Amino acid sequence: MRTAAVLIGLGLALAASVIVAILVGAVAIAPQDIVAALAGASDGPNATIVRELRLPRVLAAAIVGAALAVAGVLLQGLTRNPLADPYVTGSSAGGVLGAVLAIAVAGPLAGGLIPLAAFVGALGAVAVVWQLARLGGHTTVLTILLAGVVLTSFAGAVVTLLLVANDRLALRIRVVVDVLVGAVNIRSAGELAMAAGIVAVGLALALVLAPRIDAYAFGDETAATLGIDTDRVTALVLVAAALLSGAAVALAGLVGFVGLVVPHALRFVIGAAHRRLVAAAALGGAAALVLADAGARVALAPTELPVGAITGLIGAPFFLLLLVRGRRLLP
Amino acid sequence: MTLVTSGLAAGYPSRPVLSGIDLEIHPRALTAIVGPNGAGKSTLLRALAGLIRPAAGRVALDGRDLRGLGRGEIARLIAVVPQMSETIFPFTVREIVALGRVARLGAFGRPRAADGAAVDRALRELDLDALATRRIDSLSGGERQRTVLAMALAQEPRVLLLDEPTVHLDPAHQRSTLGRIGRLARERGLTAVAVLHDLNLVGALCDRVVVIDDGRVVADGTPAEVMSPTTVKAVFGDGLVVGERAGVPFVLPSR
Amino acid sequence: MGITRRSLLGLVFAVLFASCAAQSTPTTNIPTQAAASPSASAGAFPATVVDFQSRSTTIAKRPERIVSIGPSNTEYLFALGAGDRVVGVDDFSDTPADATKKEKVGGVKVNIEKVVSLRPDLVVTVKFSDGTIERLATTGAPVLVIDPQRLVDVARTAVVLGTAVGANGQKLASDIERRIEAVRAKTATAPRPRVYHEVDASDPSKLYTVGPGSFIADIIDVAGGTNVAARAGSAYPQLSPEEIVRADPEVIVLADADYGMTVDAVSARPGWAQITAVRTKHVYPITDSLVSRPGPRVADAAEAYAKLLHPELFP
Repeated sequence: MRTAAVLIGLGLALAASVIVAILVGAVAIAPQDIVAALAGASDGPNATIVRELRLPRVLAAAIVGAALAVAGVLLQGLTRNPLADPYVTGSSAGGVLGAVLAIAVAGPLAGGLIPLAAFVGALGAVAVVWQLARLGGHTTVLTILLAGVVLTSFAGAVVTLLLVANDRLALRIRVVVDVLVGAVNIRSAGELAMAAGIVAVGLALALVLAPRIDAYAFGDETAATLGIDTDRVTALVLVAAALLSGAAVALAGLVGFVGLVVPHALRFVIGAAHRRLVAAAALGGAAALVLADAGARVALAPTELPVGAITGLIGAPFFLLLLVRGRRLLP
Repeated sequence: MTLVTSGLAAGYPSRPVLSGIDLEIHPRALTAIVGPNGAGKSTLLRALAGLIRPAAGRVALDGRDLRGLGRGEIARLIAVVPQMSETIFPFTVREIVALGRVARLGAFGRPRAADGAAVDRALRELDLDALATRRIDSLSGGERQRTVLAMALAQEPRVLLLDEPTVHLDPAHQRSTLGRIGRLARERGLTAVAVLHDLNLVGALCDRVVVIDDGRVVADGTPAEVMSPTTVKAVFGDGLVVGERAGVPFVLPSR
Repeated sequence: MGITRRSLLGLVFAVLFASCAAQSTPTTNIPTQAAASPSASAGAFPATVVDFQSRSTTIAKRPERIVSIGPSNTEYLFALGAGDRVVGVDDFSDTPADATKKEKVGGVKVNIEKVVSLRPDLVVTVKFSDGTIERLATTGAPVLVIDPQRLVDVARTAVVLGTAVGANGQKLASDIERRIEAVRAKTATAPRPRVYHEVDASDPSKLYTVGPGSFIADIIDVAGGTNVAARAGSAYPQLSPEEIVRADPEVIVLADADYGMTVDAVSARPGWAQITAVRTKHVYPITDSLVSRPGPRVADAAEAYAKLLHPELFP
């Protein structure tokens, strides 16, 4: 079965990229030392680096990549818009605002507060967007998109104001850049575990919702006549996408392009049916971001690039390629 | 199943459209809804599909008020063939037709044997077997039309509603599509209702015509009964000439 | 969303690159006094002063209204006895206590209008790369840019400023140099522990430290330590946590303690519990204004640092 072949291939790609990512880093460590460290058979600085710095980082990149790609699939399917990205419902606005507020208020000890604030901000923003969309009466996909645009602009203005007016933020500008451009930052194992849990819930929800998202192929109204309770399904899709993109923003800020390009590329390979696409996107997105993050760590070593710079540098031309090669990506 | 509207008034928050609609639509026939632009034809179709709630009166299927049914229940009884058949994403024909089974999916959405069988039947009925694995965006207009029709049939409905199903088709396909729908209705006992603009197609291929003008029913009967010069002139104004050939009425624009 | 994000990023990058540019290392020059007789050490005017970027500034007469921008400059002016002639300082000038009573002219951004309103006849400032220096020139007063890089330059700043304000900077410079030498001599034969000096870790995956060319790195050297960033490529490099873990410092000095960093927070970083300094509890906060200012207290800073690294030598 072709689907099985593609999924297995993606799984292998993910495994390979994880291996490559653990092999590289700011400090050169021999492969045999890495294996020993992973097996728990050695101690010392190298083992510490592998087990406590690289491994969590790589796992985080995988989780963020999977979350973003699946959120992209969900939102593109719901809005029938191939240009929808995981942030289109405002989760980026809320996440950034939450993170920036945490940095402004708590300074260098913002630490573990930043991802929490980002996650809460992301969920809060989606909730606000949902409420805004309902103001006009019946909630349609269009009103959600509009509300998302409104909220994102507003939050962007607030963040700009904070950046200019708050000296503490001006001093911590690098941290803010990381949030805005996207950089994988793990501060503790607990943070990683919690994010993994949230993303798992989001993935499960996405898989269950996927066949129903197919029904949106001809629009909201036809989805209703096919038997979909559009209010409920739309809300659930928003919740799933918010959990996924919120967790991603909490761990890594606004990483761009993964949620937009990975679903596109995989649609060419595995088709448009959403259940298969969600599974493929989880694997493909994880592999893509693991590799991008490895690149971010070594491209200018020992200086780290934010991973969003890599996804942008590679994602933009790749997206262009897809547009040129694909036939009907836009209506 | 018989679709009955009693005193139906419906419309949108900003403007009421229909009022006082009393209709009884029976199975084993293709009923056309015609009328000038803005008369409320699509609104009526939406109300019949349970997509808009009546402001007054009710819509009932075999005596059951649609308002008492959930979306899933309605979808298992009433299928609406979408007017547009283009999708943004490259679904295959089989995937589109399978959408008709969405209303019957279990909680986890896994399709069962009955679903596959229904899809196969619908594909076969519409001569789509050879095209089943083709992407829908690589098909012609007529083939896409058949695909969405198959999707509706896969719902295994008792009622089939169509909003201008022939608007993008060439004359041959217009004829074959409506002919097919009429035949399905008669063979399977479906209640088929189509909003149509082309009075000639109506005259030739429909069993019954309901004329809506300004939100009300102004005529209801067979094409021969309804498409008289007086009615056509009253509803569509001057400029149309009504004729008849072998008992089938037709309409031509006059010079 | 795309437009908002772009403009946000534009703003952020502008600030980022400005602050990066401020860290380039220029050549250093020993400043000279031109055409002043050795006996006129109490200040002969007009005086020509050459700053650390080889710029020459002529000061016509003894300045009576000095605006000082940069806490190290303010400390120096007061140490040279010119504190009563200072009419305006920046927001961060908090030492000595009298400095806080002066008029404020701004923090990260200097309020030029405020400076003009104080009618200065000399402006002493740290280096800016955003056009502030050019704007300060519109005040009409001579602008002296004090930007010492190495420890030896920091001591020499006393001479430059002394000449500019008509005070004996040479004595102050010599005092500072003598004390630094004393520390260096004492630690010369002691074992040199590996030291990681943390400037900023608000992003724990990007750690800012001091490297070759920074006077703080010189202080570490004088105090008898080996900087783990000794082979870095710039004066204020960024290291990855992997490198710190691998370098395994024996002492960690937190210059960001004043901004909220704690020893516990450091120990809680992933992988850091195994570092020798953390295991043996040699993680020390240090007062930022003491060690990070290229001012007259650098000798105090060297002594304090030496005390941390070699407590047995500096009881």
